Amino acid sequence: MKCARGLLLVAGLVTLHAGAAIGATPGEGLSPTAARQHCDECHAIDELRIGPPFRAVASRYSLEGDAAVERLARKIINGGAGNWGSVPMVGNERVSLEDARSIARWILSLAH
Amino acid sequence: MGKHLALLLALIFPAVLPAATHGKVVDLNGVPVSEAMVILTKSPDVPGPTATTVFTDAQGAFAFGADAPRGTLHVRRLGYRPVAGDVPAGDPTAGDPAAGGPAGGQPPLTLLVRPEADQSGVAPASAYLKDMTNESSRERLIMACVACHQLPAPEVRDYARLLDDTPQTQTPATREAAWSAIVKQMNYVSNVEFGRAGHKVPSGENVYSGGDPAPTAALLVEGLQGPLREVRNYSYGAPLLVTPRTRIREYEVPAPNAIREAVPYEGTAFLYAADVSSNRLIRIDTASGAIKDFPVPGTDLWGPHTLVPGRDGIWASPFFPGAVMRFDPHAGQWKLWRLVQDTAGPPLGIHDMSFDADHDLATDKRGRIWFSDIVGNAIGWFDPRSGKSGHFRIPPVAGREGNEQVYGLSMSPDRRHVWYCQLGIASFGSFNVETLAFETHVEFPSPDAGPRRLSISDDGILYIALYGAGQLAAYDTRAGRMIGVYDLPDRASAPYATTWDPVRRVVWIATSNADAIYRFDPRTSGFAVLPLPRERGFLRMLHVDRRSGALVTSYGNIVEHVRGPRMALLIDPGDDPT
Repeated sequence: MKCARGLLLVAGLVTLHAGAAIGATPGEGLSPTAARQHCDECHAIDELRIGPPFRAVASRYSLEGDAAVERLARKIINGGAGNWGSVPMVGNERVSLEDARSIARWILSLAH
Repeated sequence: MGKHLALLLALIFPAVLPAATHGKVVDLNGVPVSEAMVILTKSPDVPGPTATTVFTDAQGAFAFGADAPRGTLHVRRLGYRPVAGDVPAGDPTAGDPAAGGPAGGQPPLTLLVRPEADQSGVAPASAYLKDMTNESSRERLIMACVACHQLPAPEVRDYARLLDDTPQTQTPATREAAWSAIVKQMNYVSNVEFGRAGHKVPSGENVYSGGDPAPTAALLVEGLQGPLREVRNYSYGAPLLVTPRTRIREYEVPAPNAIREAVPYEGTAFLYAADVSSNRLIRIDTASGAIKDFPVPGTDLWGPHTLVPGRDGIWASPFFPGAVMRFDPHAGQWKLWRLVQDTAGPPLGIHDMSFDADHDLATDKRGRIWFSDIVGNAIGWFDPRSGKSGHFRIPPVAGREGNEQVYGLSMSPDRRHVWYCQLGIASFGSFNVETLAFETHVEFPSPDAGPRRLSISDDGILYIALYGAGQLAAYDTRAGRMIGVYDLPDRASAPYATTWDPVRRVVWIATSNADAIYRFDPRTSGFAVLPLPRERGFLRMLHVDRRSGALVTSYGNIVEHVRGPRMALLIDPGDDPT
């Protein structure tokens, strides 16, 4: 893999040197559970990353109440595609239903 | 003696348990199954290795030693599945009629298996790449992905199944877009992990700035076709080297940790494992499994990364910043040397330190330790007596400039040269530590061959593991000629390191993607396979304990995000080493 912008593979991993834009700490702004489960690897609160912004998800589903909590929790665990383009969300079977519901409730709380 | 007291004593002193767990592995027709792994996972409340594995003989028989702890048995063999679940083993009352147990030790166990063409769950990740016919693509895919984790790991296979099941991802273009997303995620994870070395992580539009994901995504589309639910017709590719005396002992280290490599020191009563994520060396008592931590001094260090046993302790290097450390196992203390660095330049990335044919730390005749600097693409030296250090940049290789990644390093038997390889550009060479000049330089034809870690035999033969190509290169450093480049039994095995075995006069090859160790015999140019009892057995370094002939290695699933076992391994191949 050719690495751009001062990136260098070290011992099978990629390290980063000065030059890239410096930003937030991983997990910052997320609920503790969302941070622990590394949701920010693919999502951010307001910006489009690999997956939709959390606030966009909240806007779409927040009026559905508890049903939305359950549906989002299942989506977090099972993954799947269709609502936000063709890139599927990976399944996260190791996330417990309890954690998934907690993350879903936090996402829905972001609705304006 | 009352029953309860006997039971209590048996729990406290499991070594006095009479008669070992033994039995047979047969199929449903009663036919013995040979070369099956029987894995004894100990109960959490008793001391000992986390798991001990033995292999069945031609009659399907297996036996554990008298010191085998109480636990459960599981059978694992390519092409078979256990008929029932795990079987309890090691009844503590067995052999003690006074305690109400059966006389004459434990009765033999019969473990049933049935043949099954689907090898998923038993075959290694590399099995899923066996039908990848384009050699160059396979090499590039392994170099890109197996650099950090097995491919296809179970999560990757799950994602392939998701793509196969999802109506929106049925075209090549949507598949590629979906794999691109995963590559971006991996690049981000890498950035976060190495952000802990003192650099911050990019955000916003740069969050996935690990490089263009498209080339790797295209390789994933090419290499991972179908739902990957099953894998069939995988074979190890060479005879197994196991015997009924083979013992694989695995020692789990409590989370969180990221064991990178493990070494023996003066015999195998203790193993020492480098935990690269929590900055400590972990000592494992091989009899009891008891663990003791030895934190690395210095809050700014990230490591330890590489371990090399020496006559005066275990030498270690952290990733960053440039430092060399020595651990005294007797005193339980560290000594640390900070290396002087160019203030304007990047931090030193000390990767490997010079070792000899016994895999012990080797200095040159002036007492200098030599190392590879993966960040500066340089060969460096360090004098522990004066604390002085320096480095020599490796000349650029025409047509392969950039991303050199100088990696493995070893010292020649005459201590006049260090030999190094460059993982990123598929080259290796020598540096004369007396004249301070670069001498030999050799390139492999494929730029993705991936020479990773190397070792030199006492007669000057350099053995190089070719990670991408799945080959072993043997180069005669005295005659200056390539003896041969040998295909490994599994070309997708991602060989991480070679280790010259001065006891047996063979080469051991630790693989990252095949859950196996290979043995190469230079006398016959033949390979043999030692399969490991666990999925995601991502190996890195392997050491041979000179006293016992035992092999010591570890599942080096480093960084939190990479799932898989974090264990040190102590292996008796079950041969007659001399």
